[in-house]
Amino acid sequence: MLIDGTFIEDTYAEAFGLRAARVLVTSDTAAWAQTAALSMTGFATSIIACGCEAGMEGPAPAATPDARPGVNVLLFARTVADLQDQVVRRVGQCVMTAAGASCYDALGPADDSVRLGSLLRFFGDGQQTSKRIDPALADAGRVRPRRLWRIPVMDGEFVVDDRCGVRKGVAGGNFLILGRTPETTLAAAERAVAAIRLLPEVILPFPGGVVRSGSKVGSKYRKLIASTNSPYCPTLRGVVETALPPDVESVLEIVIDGLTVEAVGAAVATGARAACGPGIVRIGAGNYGGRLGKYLFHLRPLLSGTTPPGQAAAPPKPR
Amino acid sequence: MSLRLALREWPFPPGMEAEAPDLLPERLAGMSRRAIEELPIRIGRRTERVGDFFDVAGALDGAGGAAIIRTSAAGVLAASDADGEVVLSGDLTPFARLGAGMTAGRMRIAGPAGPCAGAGMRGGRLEIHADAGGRAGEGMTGGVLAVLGSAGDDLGGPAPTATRGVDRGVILVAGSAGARAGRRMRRGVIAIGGDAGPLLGTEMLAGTVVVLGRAGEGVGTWMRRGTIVLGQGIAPAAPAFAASGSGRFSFWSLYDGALRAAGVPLPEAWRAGRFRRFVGDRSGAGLGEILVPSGGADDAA
Repeated sequence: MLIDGTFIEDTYAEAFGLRAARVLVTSDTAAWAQTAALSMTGFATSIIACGCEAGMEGPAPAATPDARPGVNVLLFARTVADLQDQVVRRVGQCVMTAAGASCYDALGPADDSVRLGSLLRFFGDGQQTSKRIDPALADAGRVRPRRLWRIPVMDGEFVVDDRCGVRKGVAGGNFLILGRTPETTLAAAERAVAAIRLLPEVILPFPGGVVRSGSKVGSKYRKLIASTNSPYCPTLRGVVETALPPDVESVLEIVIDGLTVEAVGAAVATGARAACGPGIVRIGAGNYGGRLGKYLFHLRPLLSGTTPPGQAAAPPKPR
Repeated sequence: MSLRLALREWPFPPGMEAEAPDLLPERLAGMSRRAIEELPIRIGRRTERVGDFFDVAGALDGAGGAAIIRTSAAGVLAASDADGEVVLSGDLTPFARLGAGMTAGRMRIAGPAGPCAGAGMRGGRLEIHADAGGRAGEGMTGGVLAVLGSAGDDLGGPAPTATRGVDRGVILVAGSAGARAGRRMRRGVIAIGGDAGPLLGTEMLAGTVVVLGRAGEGVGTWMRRGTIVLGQGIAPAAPAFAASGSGRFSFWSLYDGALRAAGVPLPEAWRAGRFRRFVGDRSGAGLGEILVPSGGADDAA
């Protein structure tokens, strides 16, 4: 299968389930909302060492609870307890500290919830107050009452939701861009990132949305659970068994986390299509033989549009 | 389909109070006209039949319009004629406790209501398309009470012997309210489109009271926590309240949007959420606040 002269490998990306939360960060200006969200999503590239994966979700919300500019942030962690820890740390240290910022739960229907304002409120040293907005007056479709905390800070008040919803999400959707030169590969990755960032319900947790240090499971060192993806390292040709065609000099990976399988599948398809073009030899995907992840995204059906939405993970996991 | 009960005439002298505790959407749902006519009305010491005083027409299906309540609060203050509601019409001033204890559904009173309308409501929506008597919404713990006219004294206050007034729920009054509105309120929202009488929000424990017009003397006396937003009139005075500066309160935007969606005609200038803040009552816990729109009230007093 070829798209714009780029060969699409007959392979699949393998993704796994994590717990997800979505918070909305608002401020007086879009720039300050962006600043707070950027700070909150720092050092959140991989659950391997960062505690969570986080990023800013593509389109800015059309409306926010306090009618100010806002940015949606998605956070993913292994367990609800991990998410609890990360959400409170990040909102407390990066949003509460940002000028003019407020933080709201923006997940919608949730399986579970974690404490947010109900923990951060203690910063108010007894001067914090809560407000509860009755469901009859709350946003349409919201069934739980909205409880907010108003924590006094030096520029006024930090307003934050009492709790934050949690539900199952999908992490680790990916594809590999194999290019002739580092320049063309990076340009293709940037095209893919730009296209994916327009989509809802997904984030690209790595720097600039691009990963250069793709990993494989395990290592020769017993303490490491992951190590460099040696078959895709151009400088290891001739040293280890390579997966690279002879004319490939550079490989970059796009990793996608999302709230649903459908959203991640759509992002893989959109990004991979945008990456195809001159100088890009192949589009591949990272997988572990179906052993690690619950969700499989087969590139060819996704890119040819023959996989109906909601079945991006077909076929079932091999045993 | 709606159930309509029209009061034919009231042959008793003024002051003779009546109660019809079964005229609630959740109880009337699915009942036949004959069964409704046999329901009791207590008049003084006597017990009479609904059918002796009301013309009953139509029927109420299922849960009495509960779904409407859960899906939308829009237009609460707007006159409505939706299906799936109980409509009581006539001069219902002699009837106390109309809609008291409602848990679901929708009831419209097309005429003035007597005391304690909507007392102890736990859910649903009660609309009074004229004035409500005293103690409306007393001890509410949920639901929406919308009064399109004015309300009497002790709106949303505590029931006798109770320590809390409104504890969850929403009360919207298009006109004015009498004395002591929101007394000992614990949670929820009371919005008054006109003026409020003296001692607004006295002994408030928490919650939010919004008055678009003026309030009488003693606003927030002995309030412990909670928020009173005062559109016009005299700002609270020292020593009970201390000026706490002015600024933009972003939490207000959530109330602003929700109250506007419910049909409360908030001034356009309030959208910005800029208020002068007064904290008190400092003779007690002092964590309450009175917000006065910047430039909106006279703070010279």
